[in-house]
Amino acid sequence: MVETEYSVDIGFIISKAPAESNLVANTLEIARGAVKQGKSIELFLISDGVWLIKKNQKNPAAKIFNEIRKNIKVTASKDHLEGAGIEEKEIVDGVSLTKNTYKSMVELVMENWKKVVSI
Amino acid sequence: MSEKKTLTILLTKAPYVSEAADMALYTALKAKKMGYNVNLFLYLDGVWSAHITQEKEFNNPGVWLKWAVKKGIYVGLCERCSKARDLTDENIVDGLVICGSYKFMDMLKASDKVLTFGG
Repeated sequence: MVETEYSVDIGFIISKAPAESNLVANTLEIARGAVKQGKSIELFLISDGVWLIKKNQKNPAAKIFNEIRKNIKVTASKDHLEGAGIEEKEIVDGVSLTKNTYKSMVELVMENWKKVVSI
Repeated sequence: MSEKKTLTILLTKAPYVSEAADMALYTALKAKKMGYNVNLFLYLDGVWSAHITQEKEFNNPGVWLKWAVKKGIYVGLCERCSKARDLTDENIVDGLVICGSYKFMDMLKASDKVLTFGG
């Protein structure tokens, strides 16, 4: 293993929709716990994970996400947002969008995040 | 020259039922292109991507696997999972290795980061 200085303690890759199961909500509960412990957290949203940033949702995952999103970094795949038909005006503020989905994700995982959880 | 970091990707879901196989393969290929060592381990229904050996007029994970092998990505299949699904060296993409889960443990030990797709 290669020694690196990481800027984020834990990164989460979320590829599942918030309402398809409890998995996203459970994962975000872990993220919330980590934030409370003072850890730096980042989410990378890809595939159905991009649904998490749509405004005005009423599901457990979205509730937790809205509690913590001001304290974490969030990046989402622009291609997958477009694939889902979600326009930028429909997403919550504070989210970075990337056109280079896989390049951005690999860079974050390998160079920026100390630990990674992928669902 | 600085040592290369290693990424291991675990795929547990079959192709076409979701985007998991596509995400795993695109991530693997992108990471390799970016200069990282990459391992891909096909586990549970993830082994089915290895069975796609024919041309298709639509998205073809088998082609992506051939490309992964060509680019020097080590692709292993869980031996037990392959046997359960009657997959052998004769009916999977050339260059893939049917190996035990101990090989996956070796991959984990040698990796800087591990991603799971399909969980």
